[in-house]
Formats: sequence, C-alpha cells, structure tokens
Amino acid sequence: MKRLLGTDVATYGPPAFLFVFTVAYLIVAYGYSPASRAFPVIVAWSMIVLVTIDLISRTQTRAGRALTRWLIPTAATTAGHDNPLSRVEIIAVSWVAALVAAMALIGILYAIPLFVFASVRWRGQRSYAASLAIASITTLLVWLLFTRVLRIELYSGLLGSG
Amino acid sequence: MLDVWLGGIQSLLQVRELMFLALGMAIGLMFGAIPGLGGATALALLMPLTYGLEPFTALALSGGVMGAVPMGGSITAILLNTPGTAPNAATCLDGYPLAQQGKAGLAIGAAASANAIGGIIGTLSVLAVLPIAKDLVLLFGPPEFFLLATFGLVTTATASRGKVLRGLISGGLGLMISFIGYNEVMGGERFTFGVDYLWDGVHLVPALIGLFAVAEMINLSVRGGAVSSNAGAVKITSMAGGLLETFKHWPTVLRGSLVGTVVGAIPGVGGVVAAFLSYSMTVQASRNPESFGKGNIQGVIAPEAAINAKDGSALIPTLAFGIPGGAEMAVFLGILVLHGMQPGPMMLSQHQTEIYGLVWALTLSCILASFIGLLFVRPLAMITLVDSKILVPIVLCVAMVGSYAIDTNIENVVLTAAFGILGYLMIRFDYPRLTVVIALVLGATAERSFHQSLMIGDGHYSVFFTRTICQILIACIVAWLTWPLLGGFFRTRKSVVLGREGRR
Amino acid sequence: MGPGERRHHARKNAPTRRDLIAAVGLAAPALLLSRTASAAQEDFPAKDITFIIPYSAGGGFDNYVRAIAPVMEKYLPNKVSIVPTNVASGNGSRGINQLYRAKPDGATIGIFNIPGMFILQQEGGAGYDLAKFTWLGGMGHDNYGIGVAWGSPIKSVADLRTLSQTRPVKFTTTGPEGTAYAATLIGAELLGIKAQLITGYKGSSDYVVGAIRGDGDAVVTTLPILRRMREGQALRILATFESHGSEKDAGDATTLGQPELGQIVLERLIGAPPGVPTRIQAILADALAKTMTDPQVVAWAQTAGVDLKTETADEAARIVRDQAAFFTKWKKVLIAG
Repeated sequence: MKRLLGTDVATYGPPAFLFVFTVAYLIVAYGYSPASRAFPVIVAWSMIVLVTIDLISRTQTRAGRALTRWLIPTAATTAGHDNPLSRVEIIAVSWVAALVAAMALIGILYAIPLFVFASVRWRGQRSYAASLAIASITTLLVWLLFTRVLRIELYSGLLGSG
Repeated sequence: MLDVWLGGIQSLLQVRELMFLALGMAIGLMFGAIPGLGGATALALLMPLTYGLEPFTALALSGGVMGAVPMGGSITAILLNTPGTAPNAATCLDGYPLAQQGKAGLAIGAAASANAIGGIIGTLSVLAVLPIAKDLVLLFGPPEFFLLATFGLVTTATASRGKVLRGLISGGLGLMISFIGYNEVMGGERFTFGVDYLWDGVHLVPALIGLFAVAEMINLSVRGGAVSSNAGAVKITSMAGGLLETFKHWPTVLRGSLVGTVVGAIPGVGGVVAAFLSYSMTVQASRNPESFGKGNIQGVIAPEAAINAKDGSALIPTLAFGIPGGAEMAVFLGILVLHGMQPGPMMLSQHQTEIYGLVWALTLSCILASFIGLLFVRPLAMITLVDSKILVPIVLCVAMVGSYAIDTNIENVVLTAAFGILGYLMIRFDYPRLTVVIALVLGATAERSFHQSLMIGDGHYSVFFTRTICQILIACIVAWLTWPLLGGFFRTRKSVVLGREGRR
Repeated sequence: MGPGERRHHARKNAPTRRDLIAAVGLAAPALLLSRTASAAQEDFPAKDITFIIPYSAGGGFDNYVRAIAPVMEKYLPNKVSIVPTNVASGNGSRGINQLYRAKPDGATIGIFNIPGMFILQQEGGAGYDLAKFTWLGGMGHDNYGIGVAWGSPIKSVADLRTLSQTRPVKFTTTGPEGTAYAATLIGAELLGIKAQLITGYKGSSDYVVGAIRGDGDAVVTTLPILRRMREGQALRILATFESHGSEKDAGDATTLGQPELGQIVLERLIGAPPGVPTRIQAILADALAKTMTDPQVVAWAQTAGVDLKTETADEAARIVRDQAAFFTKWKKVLIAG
C-alpha cells in the first residue's frame, strides 16, 4: 500500500472525498444570488478548513499527531479501520442497490419476493423451501398492510406502468 | 382549573372512550414500529373512521394513537437500529449497541419507563401551561428560532466527545445537505439540478431510515451473525431491570422531560430536535461522555423521556393557533376540524373539557403502551438472536416500502438507499451520525429564520440582541460553549493519558 | 312492450303467429338497446375513485376532501369508494401533475387550489395546463382581507398608505410560490401601499401568527382565518377584498375604490384529467353538486365555519379562465416582487 506522509494513501480517502464534494458544492453555490448563497458558502468554506485539518491529522507528521490528540483522541485507531472497502462490503452495498433498482424497475410487489428469495437462498445458504417460505410471508405481510389496510398503491415500476 | 382537569378525566373514563383509546394505542404501537409509517399515517387512516364518532371519542382515539407511537418506534430502534419514527433515531444511538450486547430487554424496559414518566411530566406541564399557551407561542419568533437552532447545532457538535473534529465535519455535511431545495425566503431552487423531488429538500424520514436502518443492515450483513452475539444475556432479559435503571437515573429523566416539553411546544422544531437535544445535553452532563454511543443506558432514557414529553406540549401551538407542530399534529388538526372544533384562540375557552380529556388520553395511552412494551420485552428481545441472513433482507424490504409509503414517492427509496450507504460509510470510517441528523433538521430552519429576522429588524443585527428570549438563548449558547470547553480541555488530557495506558 | 305490440293488442282480433313474431322482432332490439344503454350507464364507476389532494394530510384542502368524499360516494350510480389520497410535493404541483397524466376514465379526480396552481404553471416547468382539465365543479372560495395585530396603532387602510410613505409596510407572508404572497403583492399594489414582504413562513397559519406577534405590520390572508383570529382578539380586520364587505368597520373593494380586489380569491375547484368523456364528467359533476347540498356536508360546513357556495362545472371552467387572465395581467408584478 502506497504511503504518503507516513500513512497509507487509502486512509486519506474519506476526507479527500469530502474535500472534492465540498469544492464542487462551493462551485455550484457561487452560481446563485448573493443572498441565496450566503449560508451555503459560509458552511462550505468552514468545511474546507475542517476537512483540511482532518487530512493533516491523518498524516504521521508532528502536526498530524498533535491534531489527532487534541481533536479526535478517541477515534478508532486500530489498524485496518481506515482501509478501503473490502469485497464483502462492496457486495453488501451492491445488494441494497440491487433492491432499489428492482423496486424502481419492476415494482415493489415483484422486487420484494425476488430479493428476499435471492438473499436468503444465495447469501443465506438456506434451502429453496425455506427461502421461498420467507419470501412469500414477507411479501404477503407487506401486501396486506400497505395495499389492503393503508390502501396505498405500491409502485409498479418503470417497466410496469408503461 | 382543577374541576376542568377532573372533568376531562371523567369524560375519558367511559367504556366506549376507553375502548377507542385502546384501539388507538394498538394501532399507534404498530404504526410507530414500522419505519416510514407513524402517527401521521395512522391518524390519516383513521380520520374517515372518526367521521361517525362523537368528538370526544374521536379525541380519545387520536390520543391513543399519538401516545403509543413513540413506544412502537423505540422498540424497532433498539432491536434493529431502525427508527420507527424520526425522533427515535436518537434512541438508536445507544439503544442498538445495548441490543448488540444482549441487553435489548434492559433497553426496552428503560425506554418504556422513560416514556411513561416523560409522558406524565409532559402532560402536567401542558395542563399547567395551557391557559397561557397563546402568549407562549407568541414569544418565539424568527430571531428566537434562529438562536434556538444555533443552540441545537452547538450542543450536538460538542456532544461528539473525543471526536469533535469529525462531529463538526458531519454537522457541516448535514448543513450542506439541508440547503438543498426551494428557498422559501428568497425564492429559487438550490442544488436541485432540476430534480423535482428535491424541491422540498432532502426528505427527512427517508433519510433517517437510510442513515440508521439501512446502514445498520449493511453493517450486519458484512459482519454476519445476529444483532446480538450474546444469546445468554438475551435469555435472561427481565422487565424489572429497565425500570430500575430509569429510576436510578432520575435526573436524566427529568432533564429529558423538561427539554421535550420546552422544545415540543415550539412549532416547527419537533420531536427530532427534542430527542437529540436531550441526548446531547445528557452526554455533556455525564462524567464519562465517551461511553455514549456504546450502550450507555442513559442514552436511551434521555431521548425517550423527551419524545413523550414533547407529545403533550406539541398540542400547545396546535390548539392555540392551529399551527401544527409537525405532520402528526397537522393530521390531528384535520380531525379536530372535521368534528367542528376549530383550533384557534377561541378553542381553548370553548372546548376545555375536550382538550383536557385529550391530554389525559395521551398520557393514559403512553403509560399503557409502555406497559405493553414491558410485558413483551422477552419475546421482542429474541429478535436480536435471529440470523442476519434472514433478518437483513426482511428489514431492508420493510424499511424501503415504509419509506415509499410516506408519500408514495419512489424516489424516497433511492434516497433511503443513498443515505444508507452514506450511513454505513460513516460507521465504517467513524464519523458520528448524531450531528448529521441535527444539522439536517435545523440547517434550513436556521437559515430561514436568520433571513426573516433581518427583514423584521430592517437589516439590523440588533434584532438578535434586544429581545428577552434571544438574550437568554445567547447566554445559554455562550455558557454551553465555554464551560465544557474548559472542562473538556482537562478531561481530554486525562482521557488521552488513560487511553494510552489502558488501551483495549 | 314496444309500441307495435300495443297497437296489435288494441285490435279486437287476437294476435296471429306472424304478429307475435313481429312483436318479438320489434321487442328484442328494443330490449337489447335498453339493456346496453343501462349497462353503459352502469359501467361507471367500475372501480374505486382516487381523489387526489395535492397537499399533505391535515391541511385545509385535505379537510374539505375528507369531509365530502364519504358523502359523494352515495350519489354515484354504483357502489364504490372514493379514496382521498395525499400526493404532497412541490407545493402541489406533483399532485396536479399526477392527475394530469392519469387515465381519463373518471377513476381519478382531484382538488385544485386556484390561483395557486396557476401561479405554479405561470412560473414555468409545471408540466400541466389548467385550461385542459375536465372541470367538475367547485367547493366555494375564500376572499382575502387585510389584518393587523389587535393592539396595532394602524386603524385603516389609509393609515397603511400613510405609513408606506415613510417606510415600506411589512407584510408577513408565505414563500414566493404561495397564494398569500401573490394576494399580498397584488393587493398592496392596487391599494397603493409600498410593501416589503417578510417571506418564508411555512404553512398556512405561521405567517398570520407572525403578524400577531408583530414580526410585520399587517397581513393579507383569507377571511376565515382573519375572522377566527379576530374572534380570539388576536387580529383586527382592516379591509376585506370583497366587492361588498361582510365586515362592518372594515373597508371593502368598493369603498376602497378598487373593484379588482374582488378577483383575488382562493378557489377550491374539483377536476379530472383532460379528455374525460362527457358522460362520465356529467355523472361526477352531478354527484358533486348533490354532495354540496347534502345535509351532512352542510352541517359540517356550518360547524367548520366554511362558506360552501358551490360552483357548477361550467362555472369552474369560467373561473379558471378568468383567474388565468387576471394573473397573466399581474405577472410582471409577481415576478418583480
């Protein structure tokens, strides 16, 4: 793992990302009228200062270590905490994204049984029967509560509503 | 005055009213537990049903719902890190870690009792204050709101003990996000990029569901296992433990109830602020603030007391002027109007018995709901033993549908997922979520109130310094900042020294 | 019995077989026709009707719809439910857009805030055209008026004008996309009052309480709210924008010499998507009209202090046209403000 100023490059990830985000935010904010942009601009500039301090605090320089002691002494310092996202994590996040995509495309009442079944069967390693049962019960309960009792029309998906 | 109080209870203690109260309570518990649904949805659902009821019965039903919703929300907040209602997000902070340690029963018990006591204190305050409700509401204008919002932001920023820098960054992020949307004061959209959905800004409840529920589900599926790995502790869950804790920490309960009552009475500020403010203040007052967020029972007691205290006082602006304190109150207003009770300055004098009856209904329902929570503590705690591979997909689906159901916007689901990922990253990289939430809620209010104040004061900043309540608030902010900073200075040195020596 | 049958029957002779066949031949199509005619009438409504409320639950419009929905069900030819559905977002534009794009089969109707929805349309990018909706009728309207805090030194509109010569009069109001904002700007302009609007209050009562509190000098809002606040001695009514004022001691559009003020109103119209067949429109409009005179709704209106002067479908369409013309005329003022 490459090192920069004594720390793994990956450790700078979070504040670096926030820095870029805040700069982009500032650029957009300056496009608005002075009154409109007053508060966003003040906050964004403060953020830039804070995030810079965060970046410095992650270096192993004297300044960095001092900042860590003063401002984030109880932040977890166990090794690996600031590692980049592992494969397991990316998979977990992808499943959530997949659920959302499914709900948006084929609608909620189709996405739920599919998702629950797939999750329980392939990630949970349960039998087909168990997965099917859990998926069915979940869908039934959701359908009963939201469609029958609350009379809310559950989204039918971009592909469903035509 | 006492006779009106008693008149209210008397009207309530009829079989039919009590039955409807119980019904409302059951519905409130259920709706409170499911994320995205809440008091507002429950009341909206019941509104057409109340059409044929006597006004007082309708009030008993409404009171039943409103009193029980927070308890329902606490249960899912503690067991699954899923805030059933927005204010319960504060309960997640320490409630869920307790569940992870196998102490879900303890947490639920403490929440239930704090709920009940907070509710009672809130009620008594409301009853005492109702006659001067109008004047109270008039005391808080835009300058006061601005300073109050600032106070809220300051308290939570300083509450992230040991991680002040990261707390401030989270807060800044929350503020930046809160500015998204249509600007009510100056007109014009900001940071929406033409997306209609963002016109109203980032919708709060979907964001919270994502930040807490989805984030934790991602965390669970990465970690594996169940919510709690401590099956032994879960199995010996008892009702009494939680109750005892609440009585042991009675200053926390009192503080929470007080904060809830005061904050709840201010329209537009709401339960989230009450809960988080109560939480932050308890952290500040504590002797080991670093233990918060890791399963400190006071971190459950404080917000829970505040949430229920606020329910009563949120009625004050609603009844005095017809200004709903939140979505739930807005729907409740609708029920009132449907039954011929126009909220307004006259309401308090024309419908006194009904109002006092309602307040008692709220309290009774709150106590009953807490009792039920206590009764089911053991089976509920068992949920923490369910394997995450089964729990996660189910909770994810229900959370997403709940998020959608708030206002049938499919974009809510996308927002929830986005905040879920953000929330997970914050857990992962150790940035506190507490400050993000408060900033999200208060950011836009602070800005709007600021600009309004300047318009009221003709552009002079003196408007913030010449009004009594403003002066009190400024004093509070200054006190808050300076006193702990000095104390914290010494404490940080001490804890750093201890930390080096006693590293886990 | 068809007319042919009766003529046969009237004859002294008994009907022959040919007569009978002819009778059946005449009767059958007649029977068939009448069955299809009543079938056509009975096929609407075939499913539950969604009543879109473009605001969140608990607001004024929400109350109105929930009060009439269960009653309106009674006046439909078939037994279906009318389901009030809140579609809140974008200050109402999302709900109206959803209505605009819904299938024109009568299964979706909605309540409109006029001129609120027109102002949104005028701002651009609203996605609908009010002129194209199928109008069913209206639930009455509210006039606007000017109020000041109970203890305010301002006693009349003339006082406001005088004050505005030294400094702009501060009016508390909603955001720029709200109806109160438009009403305040146009009203102030018509009355010759130089106004500064303190905007940004959220919700329908917040800005009124702001005036009571003293954040501003005066407030322009609907008469029901003004009356309620006056009852509680919180506000005094300086003037109403009606052509003939219902408040004594307060000016009206005529005495103030500005009849145009009477056009500043808050209309509650009910409509369906563009292209709904006339037949279905008639059924819905008829049901709505009957609902408005139903004793249950009248009783509710009385207790709620609501003025339920209702409009027919044609009147509704006319109101939309008139309001569009009025607000197009005032577009410059609104945008500048």
